[in-house]
Amino acid sequence: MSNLKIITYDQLEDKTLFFKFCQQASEETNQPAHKNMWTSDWQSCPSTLIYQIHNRHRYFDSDGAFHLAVDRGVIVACSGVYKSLFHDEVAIGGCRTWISKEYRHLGLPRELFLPLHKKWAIENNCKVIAITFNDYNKNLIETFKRKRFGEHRTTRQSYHLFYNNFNEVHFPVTIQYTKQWIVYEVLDLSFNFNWNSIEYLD
Amino acid sequence: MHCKKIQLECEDLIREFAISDIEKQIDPLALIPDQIQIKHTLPCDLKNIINSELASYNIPPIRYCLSYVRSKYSIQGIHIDGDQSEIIKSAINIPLKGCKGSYQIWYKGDYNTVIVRTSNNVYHKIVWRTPFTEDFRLEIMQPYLLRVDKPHSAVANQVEDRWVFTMRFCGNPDFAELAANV
Repeated sequence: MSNLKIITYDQLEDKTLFFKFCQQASEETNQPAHKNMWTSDWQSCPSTLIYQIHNRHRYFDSDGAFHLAVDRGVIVACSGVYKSLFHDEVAIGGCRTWISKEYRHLGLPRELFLPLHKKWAIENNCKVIAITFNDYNKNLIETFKRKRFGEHRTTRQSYHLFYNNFNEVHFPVTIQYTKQWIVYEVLDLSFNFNWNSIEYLD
Repeated sequence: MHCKKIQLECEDLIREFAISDIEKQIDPLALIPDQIQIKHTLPCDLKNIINSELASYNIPPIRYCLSYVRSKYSIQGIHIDGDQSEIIKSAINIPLKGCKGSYQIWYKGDYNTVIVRTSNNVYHKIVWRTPFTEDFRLEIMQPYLLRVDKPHSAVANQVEDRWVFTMRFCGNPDFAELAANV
């Protein structure tokens, strides 16, 4: 992990490196999210990451940030954070996270991306930072609840996401017309968001 | 004020529909003239979703929607939006492709307008009475509520064609009236 350098997409000088990264990710067809990374007609596919980055502004300026992990000049992972559209004090982190196969054992979301996203959320006056899951990866929520035997809470440092509190919304919500599951950390305890207002209804 | 950012959750749904509809209506191999106007007929469910989100901002329902495909390097003539009967005052534009490094530019000066009808378009051409100057320019990289009853034009970048979706609203509301609620 020590060789990894984290930059934002803005700081990436050769954007073709990101195209290559997305293209390679799209070839890993056993991963459900592969089809959302790149297609040959990505300019016509707003759901692809490459379209989102190239043609949209969600992850830039005060709206959000998109981070890349670079190992000796090669992009090996990516993840974004942005202010949600349903409330501009609720940030959504860990978006569009993709880790190259060889780097998946390093815990990059927990150790690198999510702490950066939490920091970004605090610096941009967000009161809550949430991460979202689809039905197919909802089981990952359990990994945030794991405790070591004999300990009453998970081992986290102050920079880790969920250091101060861990909250789960026990019903699905609708974000951009998609059913999602949510866990979140409250950054400002005086703030209370009513998740029922975006509850997913069949 | 010329514009105001607007957050639309239905943005991606609009993009997917608009891009697919444009691709059905233009020949991808044909050389794009300076500008092509694409008329959209929204599916009922999408129209309901959009109108419901517009209502949350007190914006009236969609009157009609279009996309404009502008070829790279090209510059649109300065104009005011309009149709057969009146000047259009406000719109929401959503970038689809090629909007990085392209701009909508507003101009100031004294002017008269002349209505122009082309085979598939109606707009109000500006006849300047005094020298005009650039007033404001905007790179549209996310949905914006725009004032379109002041002289403006669009400039494409030099890399790719610029695709922009636009919608106008029932009752032709004033920009300022809508912006107050966004």
